[in-house]
Formats: sequence, structure tokens, C-alpha cells
Amino acid sequence: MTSYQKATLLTDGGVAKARAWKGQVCVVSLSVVLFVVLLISMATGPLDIPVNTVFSLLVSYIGVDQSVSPAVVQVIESIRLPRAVLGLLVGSALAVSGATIQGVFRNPLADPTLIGVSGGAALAAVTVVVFGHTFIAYLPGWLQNYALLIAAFTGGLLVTLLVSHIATSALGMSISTLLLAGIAIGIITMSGVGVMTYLADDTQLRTLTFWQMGSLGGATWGLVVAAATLIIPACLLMMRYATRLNAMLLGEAEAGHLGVNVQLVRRRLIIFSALAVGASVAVSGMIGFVGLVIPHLVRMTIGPDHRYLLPASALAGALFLLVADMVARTLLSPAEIPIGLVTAIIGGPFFIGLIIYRGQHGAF
Amino acid sequence: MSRFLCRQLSVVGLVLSLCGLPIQANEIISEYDTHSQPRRVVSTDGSLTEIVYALGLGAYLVGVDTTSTYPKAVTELPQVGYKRALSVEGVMSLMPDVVLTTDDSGPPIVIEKLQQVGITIQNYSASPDLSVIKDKIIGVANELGVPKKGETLWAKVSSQIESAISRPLPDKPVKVLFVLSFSDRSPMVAGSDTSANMMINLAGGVNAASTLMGYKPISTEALIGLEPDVILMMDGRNPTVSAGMLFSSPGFDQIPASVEKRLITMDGMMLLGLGPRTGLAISQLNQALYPSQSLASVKSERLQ
Repeated sequence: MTSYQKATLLTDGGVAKARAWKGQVCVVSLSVVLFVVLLISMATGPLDIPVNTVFSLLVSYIGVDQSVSPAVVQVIESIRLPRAVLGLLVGSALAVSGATIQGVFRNPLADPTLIGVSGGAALAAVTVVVFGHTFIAYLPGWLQNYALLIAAFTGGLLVTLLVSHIATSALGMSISTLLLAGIAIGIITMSGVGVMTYLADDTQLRTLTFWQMGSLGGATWGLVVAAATLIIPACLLMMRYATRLNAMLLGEAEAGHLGVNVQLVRRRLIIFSALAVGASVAVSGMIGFVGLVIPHLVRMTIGPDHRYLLPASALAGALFLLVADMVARTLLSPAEIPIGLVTAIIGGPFFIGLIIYRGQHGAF
Repeated sequence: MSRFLCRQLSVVGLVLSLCGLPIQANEIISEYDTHSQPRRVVSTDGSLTEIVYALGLGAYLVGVDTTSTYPKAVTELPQVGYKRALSVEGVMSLMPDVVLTTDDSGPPIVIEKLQQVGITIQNYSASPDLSVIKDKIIGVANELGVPKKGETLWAKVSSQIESAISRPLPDKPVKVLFVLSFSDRSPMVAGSDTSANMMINLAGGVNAASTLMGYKPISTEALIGLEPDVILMMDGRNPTVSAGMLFSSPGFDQIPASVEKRLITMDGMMLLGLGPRTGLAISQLNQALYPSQSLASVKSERLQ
């Protein structure tokens, strides 16, 4: 055990133990709920598939022979499951990155938009929507369908690198400069999106409006695998830095004295969250609210210890997006609501209610 | 700690009850089998919906998109949403044999998945071109197994178009500006390469904004510079825009059209949809442009 790990544990034994227990309970119960909701979401949709059919299908995977009609199998395996898994990935990516960035900035109002990743991804994606027809035809066939995804991902990553480069001086990266650079670059990318919107024709305009509202409707297994190879490692890497993030909560100098290389940790965490968020935005468009508020909710419940905060945020973000997508798919069926609207419409008032409750009853 | 557990449990309960609602224990899913003739049709374009009705097969429609507004009966049908944001399962839940689409329908991945589950996709061009109407009418009629009816309908529609565009016109055509949306900010107008531009030309007018490409917002000054004699708009979409309001707003009060307050409003789908009502739309627009004309010459061969 290194010195900073000891320090975070030994500050107040009783409180720390109680919180750790709470954190473990929270992670376990969230996992159980998530599994149940995943099953429910398999049985929820415009097409009527009863829960027991889903169970029969699951049992048939284990080897017990069950008669499930091929049409149902196809709906679940090629439409609902990839979409649900994509929702899980995107939800955890956004929530874990949100929690990490809030830790890096030591500010509960921070979210991944501050490091420019969403803005960069949006600008690149919108550029492809508007000007894509001029160059997509020259790309190799397998690339054409993914041009928008790849552009969004690289755009997000490049802008994040630019922001962190601007914020780094000879003395290292300063958080206040990072914040200012992030805000300034955010404004520039958004005006870039505005320029593209102006140049877009009528149909492109509708496409990019819908893209900005987010959707998991494009889910295929190929997309899920692509997203997973970026999101899962990035999230796991962020979780490895949990104790160092805890130390950094004490303050930059204090973390340094505890043996944390603050500059290095900060730079790496920014890159990891840019990878995770960039991949999410590329596959699902802009889904707001999750990155800012889910870590908040979790922190209000189990406290700021990142060892539990990060995994619990991942589970809560996945759960939230899964439920939001069920609403998006079924509420106006057979039509579909963009999921970004659902997350904001459910999430906003819920969060306000929680803040009011907290104000009246004190922290949980 | 017990409060904490209670909260967890209540969240579980809430989530379960919320999600459990739409689940019913009845098995409705049926296999997609290939009918010799489609009986269940989803249309994702207003003009295609109109064609299905004009062929007398409105009863085949089981779902339409938001652009399908005519005839009135379609408003009773299930809505599959905006045609560029279709949902795979939503469309599948209507169990269509065939989905009628245009190049605008999407997203592409949804169309692809619908094809994978065995639903026939009939796609038509969305470009502003009169030949598209024939393709759509004949194509839909063949797909629905009534090629004869399709030929009859096309004969009727094409003769309507012929007679509408062979009407005599005055020497000096009027300059028409199509305003897609009018608000307190820059109005969005139709340049060339739009169906509005095509319809204005077919009705014997001249598009005042033909130097622009596509639909573009323009400034007040540019609007005055275009000097339109007539403003053309879609009705239903902006019910509050009256001629009085329009021609008292800045810019619009200084154009030639404001002198006689010449505002023409037409059904958007009829005017721009390139459906079976296109011929009627041309002659209606033509009559509105030249109400009492001194006929001088006949414009010919405008179909080409």
C-alpha cells in the first residue's frame, strides 16, 4: 500500500469504513438492478415480446432446448440487444468520464464538454454531414458508412489535445488555464457548427439537428464492438487512477506530497475521458445530462471516494441510459424520440427534485 | 443505513413498475411471410401516401410518416415519425409487407435492417424533377399489384400537367418568391434546384431567388433587391401569417408584391410533394399568378 492510499484510508477510520460499505452495497445493488432492467428492456419495445419468451431464449443459450420463433430471436439478437449493449457502453462512458473530469477539475460543475471533446466531435460530424458528399465517394467502400463516426471520434480527440496543449506551459498544466481554454475552444467549435448549419441544405439541416439530439438507433454488432474496444479500456484505465484522484481531491500540493505525479495523472485522465466520450459521441450523437448529473447523484449517495464513485457511476449511467432508451423507443411508438431529449426531460426535473429534497433533509 | 436500503429498493420497484407496464403476456409476433401481393404498406413520404390513396388502396396503409397529411384519413393512421428518423422496431411492429421510401428516408442503417428482416423496400427519387411522378405512380401500382390502375392514374395526372402547362401566358412573367418560413428573423426562401423553383417555372412564373441554390435564409436588403411581384407560401404551416402581417414586416413592405398585397398560399404537399396533385397545383398556382390576364403568347414545351 502506498503512502497516499494509507492517507486516504486513515484520515477518519469510522466514516471511511461506513462509506466504503455503502459504496460496496451501492455497486452490488446497482449491478443487480442493471441486470434486471436489461432483461426487461429485452422484453420492451414496439413489437410485443413477453418476458417469458425472453427467458426461454436465455435458457436456450445455456443449452436447454426451448422453442422460440426465429422472428423473435432475430428481433432480440439483432435489434434490441446490440442497442441495449450500446446504451450500456455509452451510458457508462459518459458517466465515468464525467466523474473523472469532475475529479480532475475538483469542481462538481465540470463535465467532458469542458475539455472540448464534445464540441470537436460535433464540429467534425456536422462537417461530414454537410460536405461529406464531396469526398465520401472517393473513400474505400468499407469506410464510407463509418466516415461520420471516425470523423467525430478523431475530431473530439484532436480538439481535446489542442485544449490541453494550450493549457500546458513550461510550468505544467494549470487547471484554470485548462478551464479557460476549454471554454474558448468550445465557443469556437460551436460557431463552427453554426457555420456548417448555415451552409447546410434543407435535408442536411434535419439530419444534423437529429444527430445533435442523439440516438442509439444505429446500433449494430459491428458498432458495438468498435465502441467497446475504445470505451471499456478507457473506463477501466480511469478507474485505475481512483486512489490518485482521491489524493488530488486534497489539493494539488498535498497530492504531490503524497507521491502523486499530478501533471501526468491529469494529462492521462483527460486523454482517457476524451477517448471514452469521443467514441460515445461518434456512435450515438450528443446525449446530454448523463456526464454531469449521474456522477453527482452517485456522489450524493455514497460520498466522493473515487474507488466506489467511478464503478457506481458506470453502472448508474448505464442503467439511466437503458431506461431512457426504453422510453425513447416505446413512448411514441411506432415513432421514436431522440434519446438526448429523453435524458434531459426525465433527468432535469428529477435532479431538481433531488436538490430540493437534499436542501430540506440534509445530505443523505 | 436502513433508509439507504429502502431507497435502493424503492428505485428498483419504481424502475420495475415503469418498465413492466407495456409488457403483455400475449404472443402477437407473427412470422414475416411473403405474400404474393402486399397488403400491409407503410409509406414514409406524403406523395407516396397520396398515390396509394389515389389508386384506391388507402386501406392497405398501416402507417405513415409526418409528411403524409393528405387525404384527411391518413391522420387516423399510426405515425412512424419523421422520415429521416425512422425506428426499425417501430416500423416492424406495424408488420408491413412493403415500406415505400424516397431518397430522403432513413437513417440508412434502419432501412438496411428492415430489408434484413424480409420487408420489401420500394425506393423512389426525391429530386425536383417531373419524371419522378411517373416513376412513383407506376412503381407503386406495380408493387401493389394494380398496374392497370397505375397507368390510368398516370394518364390522368399527366394530362392534368399537360393542360396546366400549356395555358397561354402573358409576355411579361411575374417574379415569384417562395418563402419557406417567415419569422421575425431572416426568411428562408427557395433558390434554384428546389421543387418550389420547378413549380414556379411550370406555372409560368420566374423564381425571383433563382441565383441562390437550395433553401437559404436571406437578409432584408437582399429581399428588397430580389423585387418579387408575388410571395408564395405554404398554408397550414404558418396559419398566423396573413397578407397584412407579412407585408407590414420590414423588407416585405418595400417589395413590388406589397403594393397589391399579393400573397399566394397553397397546400405544401400539393405544391412541393411531386405527387398526383401536381397538375392541379400547377394550374392553381398559374391561375393565382395570372388572375385576369391579357393572353398574348403560348409558352410551349415547358415540360422539357
